[in-house]
Amino acid sequence: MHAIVADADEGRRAALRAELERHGHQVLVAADVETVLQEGRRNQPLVVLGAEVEDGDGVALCRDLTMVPGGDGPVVVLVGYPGDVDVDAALSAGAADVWVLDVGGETISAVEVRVALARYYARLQAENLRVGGEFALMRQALDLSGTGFVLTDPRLEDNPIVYANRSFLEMTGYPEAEVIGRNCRFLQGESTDRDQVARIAAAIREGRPASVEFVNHRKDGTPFFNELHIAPIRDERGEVIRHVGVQLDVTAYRVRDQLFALEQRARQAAEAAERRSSFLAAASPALDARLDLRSTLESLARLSVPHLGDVCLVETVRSGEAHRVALSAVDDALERKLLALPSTSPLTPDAETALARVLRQGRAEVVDGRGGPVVGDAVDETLREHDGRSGRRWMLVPLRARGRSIGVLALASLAEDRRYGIDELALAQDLAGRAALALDNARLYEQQVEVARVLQASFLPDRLPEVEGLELVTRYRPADAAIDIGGDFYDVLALDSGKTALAVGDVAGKGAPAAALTGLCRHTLRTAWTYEQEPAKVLEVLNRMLLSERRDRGRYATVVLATFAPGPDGIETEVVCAGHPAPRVLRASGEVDVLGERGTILGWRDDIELRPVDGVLRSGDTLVTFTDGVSAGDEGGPLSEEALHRELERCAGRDVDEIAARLQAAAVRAQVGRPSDDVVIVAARAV
Amino acid sequence: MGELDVITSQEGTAVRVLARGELDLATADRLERAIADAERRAGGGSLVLDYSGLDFMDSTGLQVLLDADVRAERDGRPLVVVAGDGEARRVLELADALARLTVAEVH
Repeated sequence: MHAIVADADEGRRAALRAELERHGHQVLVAADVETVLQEGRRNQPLVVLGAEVEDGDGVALCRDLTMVPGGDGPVVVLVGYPGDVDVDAALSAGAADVWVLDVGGETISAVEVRVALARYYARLQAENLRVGGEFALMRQALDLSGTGFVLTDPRLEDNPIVYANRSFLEMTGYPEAEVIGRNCRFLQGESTDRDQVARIAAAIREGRPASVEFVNHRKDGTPFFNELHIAPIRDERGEVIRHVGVQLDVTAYRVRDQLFALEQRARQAAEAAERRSSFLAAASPALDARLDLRSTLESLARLSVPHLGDVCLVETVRSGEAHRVALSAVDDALERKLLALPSTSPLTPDAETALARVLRQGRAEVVDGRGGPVVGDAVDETLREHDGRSGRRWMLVPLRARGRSIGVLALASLAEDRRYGIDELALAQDLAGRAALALDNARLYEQQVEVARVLQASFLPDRLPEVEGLELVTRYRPADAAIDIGGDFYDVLALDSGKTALAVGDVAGKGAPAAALTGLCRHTLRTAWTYEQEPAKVLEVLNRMLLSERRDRGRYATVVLATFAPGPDGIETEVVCAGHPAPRVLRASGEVDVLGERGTILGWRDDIELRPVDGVLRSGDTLVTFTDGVSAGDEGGPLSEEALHRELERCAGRDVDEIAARLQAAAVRAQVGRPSDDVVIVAARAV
Repeated sequence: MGELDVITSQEGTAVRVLARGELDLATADRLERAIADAERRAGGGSLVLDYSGLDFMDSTGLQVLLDADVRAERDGRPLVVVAGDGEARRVLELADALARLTVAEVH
């Protein structure tokens, strides 16, 4: 390789020439700029320029030399003593390297190494130009699309970034100077999936493309979901000279996906609960629904932190009060403090908090907390104590359903400066929409509970008729959860024949639909008694009604009917059971008899078999009917017939109120460990 | 809330659905879906509903069975119930359903 030396410093010029020639270079010492420009464009020489050449400026001459199109120009090096050459200016003028020499050195040390490096750097520059040219269009497109784009050089130590586009810098929050020259791993953090990192590392090692998604961190520590695609770029010899990395910040999608999945699950659970409400049960749909709501809102709060805020509160408003239904904070201690605050606070229409304003106006706001109270004194003060700052950025988004504001999603930033821009607001509004939907569904559910309560009243007689010679006691304990309003009912009716009819039944199902059917059953029985005399005939009427109500699923009910009439030996009674446990009679003597025979459950077949049984209640005998006993788990579950029978044997000698109370207590005890179910006990004692 | 295993198997021309564990409101849905699938697979062949492995069964489980019976009657498909000698038998006896179903002894 031949070399051209141009330097106004005579001593240095001589030293350079001597050293280069010593290493076998053919050296031309150029005395003017024109010669350098002419010779420099022939055969890609090494051009060594002093900061000042004899009739010009070294850096300017370097720029002119390296402006040769095609990248096949000379390898230009600037040389000087410390302070002579502006290194940055030289490099941006296209110099491959700057050689800074010891002052007063007679010779130039290691010139061959310097030359090799310079040539190497020059080749990199040429490649940069070429690769840059190839990617220029893509880069423009990527910059516009907000996609991060980096080039790394695997031949340099630790495969550093040699180019990063604007979107990458915006995405990561790092200035260019802190990115160039570093390996991409500075973006990783504790929550970065190590397997994904290993996959990328292997792909880089093996020079093949790969795509991963993992958590990276911005300069301010905020995590984001990074969808990273990498691919190698090879030179004409097949050597990997670059890796291209394309980054997409998919945080918003991930958060939405997670929420969407949660919402789907909650909806499926609600739908399942509704479907299941067509039969008697051991689960509590109301509890499920409330748990779903709570977990949905809590997940929402958790997911919002720290993506959208360091603290997230979900506040709902109802009857002049704000209720904090979910919260999350980046800091556990802070979260505990916030959880310890009262979750309910009065909220007057003219309250001056930002939260009240957002509720009133139904518009999202970003406030800095210096303009007055935000959520309320308790929360505001807790945050102030936590980070010692009086103001902080808040993003408050109303939860709106059916055109009304039913709550607020409140996101607060702690000491770190967080920017609430259009993107953050859009995401927060998306989340708020989901929270509002979940809340609205829960409220509709509660309305259904109210309907169920009203219907429940129709199962039971307002008061029992007086029956001569008979002391009647009823005990009814509804299931714990109001929506679980079951299909248990009882009725006592004075018949035209002078007899008294008792009905105790259990309609399969839960909730309002079952309640409606239960009311219908009771009404059907009452009506049937007006034209049928026989209990079995009355049950056949009910059976036909249930069969006519059959839809995709059957409408099943179990009922026991008993009639009472005074007779010469006591109260004459007739009992018919349809799929229902037979009544028991606790005799005055203390013995317990079964009164009744098994009959077919109603709503299944049109040819039911019922077997009426007659009996007599003598003075002091107590007939007991009850619902449940359908199953008989030894550990929990409805009270078994056998267990009830045994309990009744222990009631000998007790009065009728006490008997009913003890049986009810036993039935409730038996339910421990399972969701509660209705319990009906009717006791009739012959006086 | 208990666990329920539902296992469907083909036995000759019959499709057998085995329910094992606890059959209640929380688990009945799954059994119902398995039965619907089995009904499609069975076509005109018989459906065997094996309740003998149930440790717990409430009236939800009874409803599932009665619904299957009503569909079997409607579609002319033989339904065989394996009641075992535990929970399922008690519940079916109480409903007076045992005598009116085709019941197989332990399968």
